[in-house]
Amino acid sequence: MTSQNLLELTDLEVVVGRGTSEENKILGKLSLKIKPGDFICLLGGNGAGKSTLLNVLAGAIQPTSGQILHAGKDISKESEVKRSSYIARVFQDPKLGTAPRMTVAENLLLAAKRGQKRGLKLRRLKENIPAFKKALEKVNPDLAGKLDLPVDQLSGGQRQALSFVMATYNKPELLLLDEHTAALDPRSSRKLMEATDEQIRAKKITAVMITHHMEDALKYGNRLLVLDHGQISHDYQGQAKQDLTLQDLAALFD
Amino acid sequence: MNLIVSAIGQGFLWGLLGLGLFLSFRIMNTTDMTVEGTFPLGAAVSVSLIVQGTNPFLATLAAFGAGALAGLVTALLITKGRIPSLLAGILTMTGIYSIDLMVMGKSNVSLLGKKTIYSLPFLQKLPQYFDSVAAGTILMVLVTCVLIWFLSTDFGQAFIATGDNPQMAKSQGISPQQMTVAGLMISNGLVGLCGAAVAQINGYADVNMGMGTIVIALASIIISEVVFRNLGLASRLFAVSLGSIIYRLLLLAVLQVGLSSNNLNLISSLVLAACMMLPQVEEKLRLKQTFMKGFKHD
Repeated sequence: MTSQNLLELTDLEVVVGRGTSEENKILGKLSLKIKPGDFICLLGGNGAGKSTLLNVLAGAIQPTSGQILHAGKDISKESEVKRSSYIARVFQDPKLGTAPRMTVAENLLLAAKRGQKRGLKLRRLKENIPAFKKALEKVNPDLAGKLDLPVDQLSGGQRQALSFVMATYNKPELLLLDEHTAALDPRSSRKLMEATDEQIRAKKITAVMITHHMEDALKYGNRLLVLDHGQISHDYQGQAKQDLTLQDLAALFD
Repeated sequence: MNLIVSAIGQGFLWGLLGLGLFLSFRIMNTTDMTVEGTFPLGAAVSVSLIVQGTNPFLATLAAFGAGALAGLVTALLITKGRIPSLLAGILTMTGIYSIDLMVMGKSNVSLLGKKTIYSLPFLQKLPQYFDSVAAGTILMVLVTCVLIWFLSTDFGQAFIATGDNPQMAKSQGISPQQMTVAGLMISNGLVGLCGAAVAQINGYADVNMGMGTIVIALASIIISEVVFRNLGLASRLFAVSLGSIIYRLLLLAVLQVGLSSNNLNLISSLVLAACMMLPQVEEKLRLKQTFMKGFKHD
């Protein structure tokens, strides 16, 4: 049974300030099974624990208790650096996902070796240029002509599109999207969201996406989780998710 | 003329210091104070070894190793000890002072009559002071080329990315801690090497010769950035050595005007401060120009 799940979270707890008067349970006994091919939208109010859950999945936050199984192996204590070989991530802040002084191509080259050993071999940038162009064209064609530009000269939308291409350049087993279109203007945001959906379907990537847009949560993905006070309050899958309406969702947050 | 040639030679040799600090200051984005200790450490180790009869090239290599070890100490204080980088560097720098005295046994050791890296036959044939220019050029080109190669490897690219954005590095599977260790070791190794080269051309090692090294190193970096703008990484590394030469010539000019060498540290600081403020001042001036232009058009 366990082999069917990509990740299995059991009784995850994240508590901050333990033993003090400020003790705060951010995630409480959360259990979740992520199947290969799942495209999960994560909804929830501020402080519901969405970002913490994503951070725990990425390995940036260690759970206080509970277990995370990856293909049957316990990875609860594995670092963010180690997990990068199979988990990729796009942050909300366009500045977090790219190296600003390096060029678009150099950033992609770093991403092409995500999670791999980096030795003293020459980087071989030129040989990869055609592949980089191709990958960029699918998500943001403007970027394909800007391979030699330092990333800090790109707009927020372009940086975020680049971050997304970097995260999916080598297909990750799990893609984490932390409101990755929230910091963009409406047009760039919609374009990136559409490209995201297209790529996730085309490459059959398993993904967890935090969003504050109920419309997006309804429109995209095959599964919708609602987080409340550190626990999953609703889990709509397949048909149940398709039948969901904006009114249903809005009612949950009243 | 001799003075100018000597200044250029010193500029090349001290340029190694700038290259070392460039790695930490510009690529890793940290101000590493360790160099104030590593520079005399490199001098102390190489001079002591040469005095005891070690081959000067081996002694110089040992100075690189000693510098790298000092960098390792600072890196471990930062990564394992969670001490802020500036303080970690100051701690190592302060501790090294005692190590220098232990290594040399006294505060000043002379190389009088000993063979140094400048005793190579072909360097001896050159006119006075040109030996340091030739040796400095060779060392500079060698070190710069190795650095350019290193920075264009997969590891080097990961190193640059970590300085740019540690969070991004982590999510690409690069350990920022590992990069801090590698970066500070190489950077301080180069500074140790520079200490050895300078001590041998001056003919002695002194426990106090580290004072102000960080300012000198920063001066060569900043001067190079002010004089040569918008360079790629490879040309920038070469330009740092040129910055170091310009700095030496500036000092020479100041001394020629009649200021005493006792004022050198004050002058160094003033030169560096002025260069670092230059971009700001210029921005204000340029603003004025555009205002003026707008005025004329109306």
